[in-house]
Amino acid sequence: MLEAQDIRVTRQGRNLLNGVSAVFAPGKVNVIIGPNGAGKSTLLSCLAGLMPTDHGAILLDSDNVAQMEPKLRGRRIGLLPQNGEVNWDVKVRDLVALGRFAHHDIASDADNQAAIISAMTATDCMPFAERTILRLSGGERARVLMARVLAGQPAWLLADEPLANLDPRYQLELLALLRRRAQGGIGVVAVLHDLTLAARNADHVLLMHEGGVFAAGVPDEVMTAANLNAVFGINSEILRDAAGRLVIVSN
Amino acid sequence: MKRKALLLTLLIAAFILSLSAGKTWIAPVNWFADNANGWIIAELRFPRAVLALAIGALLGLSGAVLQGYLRNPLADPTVIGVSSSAALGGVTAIYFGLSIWPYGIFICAMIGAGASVLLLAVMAARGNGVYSFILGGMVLSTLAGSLTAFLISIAANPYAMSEILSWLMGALTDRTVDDAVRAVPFMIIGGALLMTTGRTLDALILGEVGARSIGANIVRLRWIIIAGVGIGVGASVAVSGVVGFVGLIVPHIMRGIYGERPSAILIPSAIGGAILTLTADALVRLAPGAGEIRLGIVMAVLGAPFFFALLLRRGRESGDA
Repeated sequence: MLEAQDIRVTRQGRNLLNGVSAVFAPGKVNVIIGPNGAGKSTLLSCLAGLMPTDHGAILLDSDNVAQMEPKLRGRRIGLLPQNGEVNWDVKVRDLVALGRFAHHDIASDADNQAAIISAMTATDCMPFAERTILRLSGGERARVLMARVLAGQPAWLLADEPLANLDPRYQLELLALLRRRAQGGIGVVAVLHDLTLAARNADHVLLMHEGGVFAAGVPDEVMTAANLNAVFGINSEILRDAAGRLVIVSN
Repeated sequence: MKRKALLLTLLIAAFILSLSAGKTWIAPVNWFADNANGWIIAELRFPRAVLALAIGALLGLSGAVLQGYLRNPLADPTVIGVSSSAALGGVTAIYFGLSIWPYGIFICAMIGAGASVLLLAVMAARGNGVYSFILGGMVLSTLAGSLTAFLISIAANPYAMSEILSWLMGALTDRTVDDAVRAVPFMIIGGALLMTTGRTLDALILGEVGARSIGANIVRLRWIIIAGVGIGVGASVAVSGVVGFVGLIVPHIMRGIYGERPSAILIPSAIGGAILTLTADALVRLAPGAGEIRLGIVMAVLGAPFFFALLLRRGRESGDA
């Protein structure tokens, strides 16, 4: 379990999070939605143990994330940051290998190599393993960054807007990948913007509004027209496709 | 491995050139002769060559580390004002008479260099982008230069003034064994600290958030760099004045050969910096006439166009110049 207990974060007099409590289960795709400024990314940073909280605690299987030794935390929680920053034009293989940073001292070279290969295979990155980052398309680059996180074999995978700047096909591929990982037992927590994709892919939805939790639960319960209209200030219609899955149309 | 062997061969060649070249050419067979030639080698050229090697290696390594840390290929101790801050520290020591104590200039130059890296690290942490950071470094460089000029202008006697000026311009002329013995240990300490940064610099490929998320200790990295650059660049400026752009030119060339992974270019940048400085310092002695061209001036003449070319190319690539 990854659990936020009454998290409050204040920065420069602004309440970014005012008392967020949430429980995320392993083996599920947990999705955080909400308008800009609702505190989604802040909450994800707190869950990753990268942002100090002013009140409350993040517990990972009853360990306090904020007090975890950084490398141990790095092994247990993998974070895919927003915007996919990559600073030097390094080889794909070298970038993915960064996912083993926290394992370097404790795992054998063979284990590290095996994890890197397996992560690149799962994300279909092997064909361009020797290419450098600037020579990849946007979709290939997103897969490489995902492979970097997977190479660390984390128990939790946190992703901040992983679908940004991807075309629909790659969006679906990435969501399928997250789904497979969750089925493999990893806990996935992703911040998503597309409501329909969120509704169709989430096992559990956390709807955030103004630094707090507006609603939480399965998509059918949380993503109602009333909730979405109240939080996003839109006029939305909830439809179902032939398979009974949600389609959200906003007017 | 072939490339490393080539680099080391070039380094040895540059070292031999540095010992041999000058107004008097001295072939290796005469290096240990019991005459004036042997004395020139032992007392003048050997300490000078050792200093050139150490300074070049330290500056090349500092450039590679600073660039990796700031994720910016334009960072270099001179460009971002670290060298001029060290120089300000050194001049302050001379002005207040601390240079009477052998280590006075060293300590003050190191404090100047360390403080400027600290200031720049705080600016980088605020994250105002690459160009504002470079601009900040240039303002710092100008400010340190102005304060240095101010100290020179109020210097008590013209002799002190000319001493300061000639030191500032950067040169290895007439450095003695004592100078080498004093400076080199600091540069080894600084260099050793900087050599430990490779893996964390690699983690910063993912940006600061990404690096922290995989367990990299960015705060410790910052203090290691402040100490390493402060001690190393401070000592190099204390002994040779401002020798610029080694840390800009060399890592850039090494990236072309070894790829852009920060840890992969640390040792090559140190070796390359030593080759460049040894060679340049040998060439300045071959200037026609009685005197030498100052090493600092030669490096600036080489480095400034290089910097502009890099700036233009980066501007074109990112479209935000």
